[in-house]
Amino acid sequence: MNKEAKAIILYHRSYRKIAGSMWDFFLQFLLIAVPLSLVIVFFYPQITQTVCVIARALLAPYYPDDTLRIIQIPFIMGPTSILDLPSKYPSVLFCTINALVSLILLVLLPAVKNAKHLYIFVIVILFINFMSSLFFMFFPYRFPYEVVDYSEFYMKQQINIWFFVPIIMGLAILPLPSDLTSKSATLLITFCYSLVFGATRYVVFLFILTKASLLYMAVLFFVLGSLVDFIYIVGIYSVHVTRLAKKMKGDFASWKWLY
Amino acid sequence: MEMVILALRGYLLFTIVIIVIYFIRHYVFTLNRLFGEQRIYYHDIIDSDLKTISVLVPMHNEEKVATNILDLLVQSDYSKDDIEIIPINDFSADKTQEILDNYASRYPYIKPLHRYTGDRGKPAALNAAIRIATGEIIIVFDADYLPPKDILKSIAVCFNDPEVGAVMGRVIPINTRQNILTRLLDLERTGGYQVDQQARYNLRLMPQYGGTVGGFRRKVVDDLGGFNTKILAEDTELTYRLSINGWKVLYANRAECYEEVPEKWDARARQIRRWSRGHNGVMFRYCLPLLSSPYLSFREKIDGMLLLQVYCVPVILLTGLMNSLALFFLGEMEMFSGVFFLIFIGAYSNFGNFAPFYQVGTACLLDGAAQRILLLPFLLFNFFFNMWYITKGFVDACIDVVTWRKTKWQKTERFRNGANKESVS
Amino acid sequence: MLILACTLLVLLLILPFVPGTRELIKRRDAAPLYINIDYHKDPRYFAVSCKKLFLGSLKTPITVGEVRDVMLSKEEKVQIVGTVHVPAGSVIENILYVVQHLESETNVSFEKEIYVRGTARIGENNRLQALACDGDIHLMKGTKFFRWLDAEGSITVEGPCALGVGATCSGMLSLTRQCTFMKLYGFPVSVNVDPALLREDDTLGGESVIASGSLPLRDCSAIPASSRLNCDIISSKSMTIGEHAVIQGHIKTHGNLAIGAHVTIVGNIFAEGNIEIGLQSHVMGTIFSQARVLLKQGVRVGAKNRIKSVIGKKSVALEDNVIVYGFIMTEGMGVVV
Repeated sequence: MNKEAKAIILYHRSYRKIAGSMWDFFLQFLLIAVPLSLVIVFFYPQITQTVCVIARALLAPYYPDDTLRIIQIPFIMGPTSILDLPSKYPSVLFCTINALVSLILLVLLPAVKNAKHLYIFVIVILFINFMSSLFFMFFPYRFPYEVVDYSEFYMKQQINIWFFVPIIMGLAILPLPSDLTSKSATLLITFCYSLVFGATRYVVFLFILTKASLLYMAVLFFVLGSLVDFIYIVGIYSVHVTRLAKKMKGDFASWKWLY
Repeated sequence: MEMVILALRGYLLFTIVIIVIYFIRHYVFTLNRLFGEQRIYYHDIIDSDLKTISVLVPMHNEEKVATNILDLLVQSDYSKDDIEIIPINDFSADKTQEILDNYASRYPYIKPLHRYTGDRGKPAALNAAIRIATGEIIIVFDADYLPPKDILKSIAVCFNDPEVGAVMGRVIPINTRQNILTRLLDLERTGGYQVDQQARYNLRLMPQYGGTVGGFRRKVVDDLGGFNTKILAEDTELTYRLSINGWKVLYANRAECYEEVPEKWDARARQIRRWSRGHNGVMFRYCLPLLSSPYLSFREKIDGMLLLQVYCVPVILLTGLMNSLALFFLGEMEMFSGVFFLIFIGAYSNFGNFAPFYQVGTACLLDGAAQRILLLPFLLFNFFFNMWYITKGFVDACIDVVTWRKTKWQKTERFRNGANKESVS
Repeated sequence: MLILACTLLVLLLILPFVPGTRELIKRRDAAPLYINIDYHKDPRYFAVSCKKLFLGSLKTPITVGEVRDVMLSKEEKVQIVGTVHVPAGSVIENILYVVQHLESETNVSFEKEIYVRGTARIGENNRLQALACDGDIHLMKGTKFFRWLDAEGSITVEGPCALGVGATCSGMLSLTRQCTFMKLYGFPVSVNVDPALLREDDTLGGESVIASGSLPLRDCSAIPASSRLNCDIISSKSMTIGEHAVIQGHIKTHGNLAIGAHVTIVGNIFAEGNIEIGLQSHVMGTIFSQARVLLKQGVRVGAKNRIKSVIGKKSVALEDNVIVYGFIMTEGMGVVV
């Protein structure tokens, strides 16, 4: 192909592709993304221990002495640390208020004409809250979990999230023609963001469950759980790709045409 | 109770398997579009033997937009000896009829078809027009589209290939400046066409004929019985009917045309619910014929099945969520700790908006767009919105099948205020 | 401290939306993707556009010999000459507007575009960016174009040349061995063919080259020599067509296609793989491959009154005495072997 001539006559977007190869991508994936995931595999006991220590320190002022304990539970490649706190069950009145408020909003929200995409998200939250309220109203003693159970499942899920975040981000950005430094930095930032986010959410959600009630466990787990991790993954990805797109606009060497 | 829990667990695992399959599919498409060899479309062919074409433009109360598309079609570089334009006035109550008659009086190759009897709706309108059309090739535009000068040639030329039954071009929203909805829909379209459709074309799978900015062989469709008026997604139905009968559907990434996307959320809700209802209606009809077609390769059948079920995935997700809630209250949260995250990985990454976030990002990169990529996180809200209305459409489709209910065509609301084509630039 | 943790959580939730929110407010990239509504495909587009720009910028009457500043895509100097003979080894740095004829000797380098209103004779081993000519163009061996050349008359290449992205003309485009190209457009494009010998009967009568209405022949891997077929052929595998066959129909294969010598195809040929057209065969239709196209000696494509195309995505190779009425294109390497 006459690259000199082609460089002057710009590629139309229809069959533009990037200069790069699958092998480069696989290699980068193995060398950048996988090691970050392996950090979680080999160091999750220490990471979870640190998270629990920080959580206990932050929550200690709000609980009586000795009610916050860090316990070890077995997991895949070693014990994981979790925080054990006293559970709080909702009263019947509390359940009734929650159920009524949820129901009223569930009925009223569909009448909202604007911001449909937002209120549907809210409807999902309200529906789950409503179901949870009903459960506690009619079967309070059959609720199968204590806060320590939530703590355990949250931590196990979080370990999985921390493990998958570099993988997902790696799959998303490593095929792109940004430089290695930029890709590595993005992956590292995402990884750190997920660690901080997971730890912070742990503290806040445990507080909600122990001070408000277990009624909110379903909402916290299903809607505000792993789904919201996607927000920062996509957010950081979008910033990375935007910067790359701006850089590639005038850079002919990055582009190929057809094959 | 144990059987119930087993069934619920089984469904959860089924949901995850579906998510993983679609994730792999979308990811393969993305990598193919980024690195793989691109299959070129036929737009570079210069051939003095032009086929005769009939351009159909279904219109129902389109006074706001009718003049725009007709002005542009008149300026097309297709030989006027080989073209007829048939705007189909389908039960319009506004000034559409007058506008069309005015154009007919000025241009002999514009031959409006006015329909005030018979079935209403796009499929019926197209069938009526096909019966009177004389062109070898039918090209269809929706009334709000703004076809460039060369697009008729670009679309018609592919029918030089004897295997081609239909072709679909690329749709680009023009009203992106309006609000967040139009911008998010623009991202959706970008991912869907620039990556998804093109990758399916590259991999020789089954690109989808979208019913507009596209064309098909008149005789073939006529011989196959025309459009099915019982189905709202007549375009998807045609894709499958052609494919199982040995015809190929091409995707022309180079044949670009402006369209108008919904500017209001309730218009979008109605649109997507209709698409879901129509597409799922096609799924019920074509699952088995697809698998038994002698003309399709194994790969085409697999991808055809995945494409057929794409409007089932949100339903599976929503029921998966309900299922998970049930398991939660039954004390089965243990199994969530490892796998539940995968549901939402796949769910959002697969169905954030019909194209996963990495597919949209890739498409925008290839298009040379930059800052619009920053809007990707807002697609989270589209996820629930789509899931909800697609599920409603799926329920509609099930009711249609069970009760043999007659479908009533619903047109997408137009928002243009009659501005002329200079507003394009 | 817990309040800090809550605040941090809210911040971490909101932060990913901040860049997008800024974009929603500032709308830096809110415009629709650009489509040129008035785009009309023209293989001679570069020349047409260049001439239009040129003549539009030379508004006031010109004087032969002047050097004028004009605004094209940017500010440029245009040297206006009458008939010019460029000596060997010269380097011409300005855009050249030749009111009459241009002739150059060996090893001349033209750094910018040239527009010749008469004829252009380009000497050996010249380097040119682009050349638009209202008359005929003659190229001597070793000349290299970085962009394109176009003639209202004919283009005659008398030795191996690199023809850049496109060589187009209204008349005959005559090539020799070892010429390289990406796009060619001429009536016809020929390789080492004496124009006087172009067949008088090289036309197609009456009907278009459309196949009959019979069902296509499917999945046939070999058409025997001397066959007579009157239908389309569609194959999912590679195919061969034997010598002296006559096919009245279009051909589509998902593999490679090898056509023997003295075959006549009255239809178009499409292949996902390579296409090889044998000696002295005649294809009265378009040839399109997602891979490579080889037209062997004496192959004819199209006819005097029919423009057809030969497109090979990865390469197009032409042997001696090939004649193509119309358009040849590749996105890879085009070469006369």
